[in-house]
Amino acid sequence: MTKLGLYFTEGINDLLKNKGRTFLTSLGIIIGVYSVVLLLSFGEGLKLYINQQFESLGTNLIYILPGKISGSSPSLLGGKKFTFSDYRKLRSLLNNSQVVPVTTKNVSIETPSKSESTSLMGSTVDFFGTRNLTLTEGRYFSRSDEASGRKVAVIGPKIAEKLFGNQNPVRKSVKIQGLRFLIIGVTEPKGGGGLGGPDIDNYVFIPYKTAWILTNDKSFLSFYIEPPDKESIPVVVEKATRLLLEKYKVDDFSVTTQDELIATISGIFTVVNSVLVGIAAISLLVGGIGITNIMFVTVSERTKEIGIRRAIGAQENNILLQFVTQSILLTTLGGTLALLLAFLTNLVINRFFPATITPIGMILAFGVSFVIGVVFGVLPARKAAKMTPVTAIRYE
Amino acid sequence: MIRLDKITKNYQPSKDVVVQALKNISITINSGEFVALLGNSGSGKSTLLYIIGLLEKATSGSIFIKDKNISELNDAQISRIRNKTIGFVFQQFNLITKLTVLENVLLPAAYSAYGIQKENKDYARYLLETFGILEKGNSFPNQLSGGQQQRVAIARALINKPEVIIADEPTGNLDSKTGIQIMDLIKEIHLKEKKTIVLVTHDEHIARYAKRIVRIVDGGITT
Repeated sequence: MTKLGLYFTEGINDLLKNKGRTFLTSLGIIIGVYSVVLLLSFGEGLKLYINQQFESLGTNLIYILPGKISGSSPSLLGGKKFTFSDYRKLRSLLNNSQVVPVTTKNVSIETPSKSESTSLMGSTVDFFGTRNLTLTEGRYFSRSDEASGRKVAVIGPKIAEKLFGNQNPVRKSVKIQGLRFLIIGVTEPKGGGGLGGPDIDNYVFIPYKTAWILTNDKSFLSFYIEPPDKESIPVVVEKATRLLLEKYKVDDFSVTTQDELIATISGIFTVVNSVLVGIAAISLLVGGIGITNIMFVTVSERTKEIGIRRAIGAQENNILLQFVTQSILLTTLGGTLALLLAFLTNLVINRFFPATITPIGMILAFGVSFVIGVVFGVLPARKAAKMTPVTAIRYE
Repeated sequence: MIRLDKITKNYQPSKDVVVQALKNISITINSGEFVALLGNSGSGKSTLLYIIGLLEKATSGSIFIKDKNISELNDAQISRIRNKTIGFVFQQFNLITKLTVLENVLLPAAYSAYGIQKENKDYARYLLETFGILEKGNSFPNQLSGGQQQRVAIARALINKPEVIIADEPTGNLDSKTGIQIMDLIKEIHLKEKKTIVLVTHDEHIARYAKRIVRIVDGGITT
């Protein structure tokens, strides 16, 4: 049998002999590793969720938004609004791409018996195409609805249900800010509305010219641009930026791609998640101190045994490694249990949220447990190794 | 085999008190000798034995084992000598309670350079059989009588085939009949295996098993 085998079997036997102590000591590590792994899996799930949400709303999109959203201090506030002439110029400049103007407003929408507040989207019919929105009922608004500013509305399935229950809302009329609108279509459910994604199922879509009546302001909040393919994204971004710079200052607007937008939002969540993981890591530190504590107790209980081992030829290193091995066994055992618990928790969570334990999370859990075992075991193990054999052997 | 040159050992139990346990001891123990260190309790005989057994460092003086100056060696080298060249038998038996008899016997082999080999296991069984306790191989020390435990300890001392056996009051925890059996066993090992034996005792009768008796009084040798 090799020495490593000796350390291992004796370490395991010792831990099994004191099952209660072993469990209580590794509890600190279990809780620490469990929370870190779980939070990491949440972070990973969140990124996945955000990506899915954005992708379900159309891919390869370019957004033109007011204000500066990328950079060190992202802000959507204080930007300019865009004009109809901006829209016309963009459309003629980017004739290969779909340019979709958007104006929004929070409004209340009423039936004779109910009233709900919701977000209004004024746009063109191209909006539905670029954002992959199909209808379950009725029709989209037409170009002539758009041109003449007819008061027609396509509504999301969620708001439809809130206002009309199970009834088909098409051809029914509602009042939006006192004006009567005819509902002509209902969009398919998109889900979302949680973290990071707009609650598109709750929106009311009307032609932008009609929306201007409600906003009292012939302007757009933003544009969506769908280039013909992924490769032309940089060219389109470049062209649009140059055009807007003729009129606006560089801080007044942002031309950003879907990927950048996802990265920005993911970035914010990554920071939040890192802070949480950091806080959870403190419990690992506390757990580690518990390990040191109990290892000191173990060393002192086994003083005589250490003396005997030294007398029959164990070197300082043998004793050191034996106790470090035991400490590592204690922490990796905790780490493994924690990982198992995290997997089980994930199984439950996955019914609501796509949290995922990545291989990196697993390696990290093992690595961290191992390192804690070494770091927090080495001090007591050194104490054991440095005992004078004769003093240790006379210890009662 | 073993040579001590002007060994002194001082203890400092408190700041202003220095106890001189060994005073300027020089002694040579030849290969194959059976030497008893005889003295009353507190005479310093056990301290001397622990210094010979490399379990304790002298305050001054040199110790040579097989002409190697021990004071020039590091812990790993000294541990290797303890493991290979010296076998210990203690008054308290000093078996490890959570290991079986066989595991206890094999423990010195586990700390040797090659770890436990098949030859070691065979030899351990041979020793246990010779000492009449083979059937106790898988028992734990607390299931054995004092005499049986001391036999296990002697088997452990022999497992790495050391040249020197160091015995610290090996009969001190045994009744006189068992004590005689253990001493007979040690003598047999000395004669048959040609081992160098260094024995510490306060008992004149036990000391007579040795060929040479060294009397220790107040930390010094009187002849």
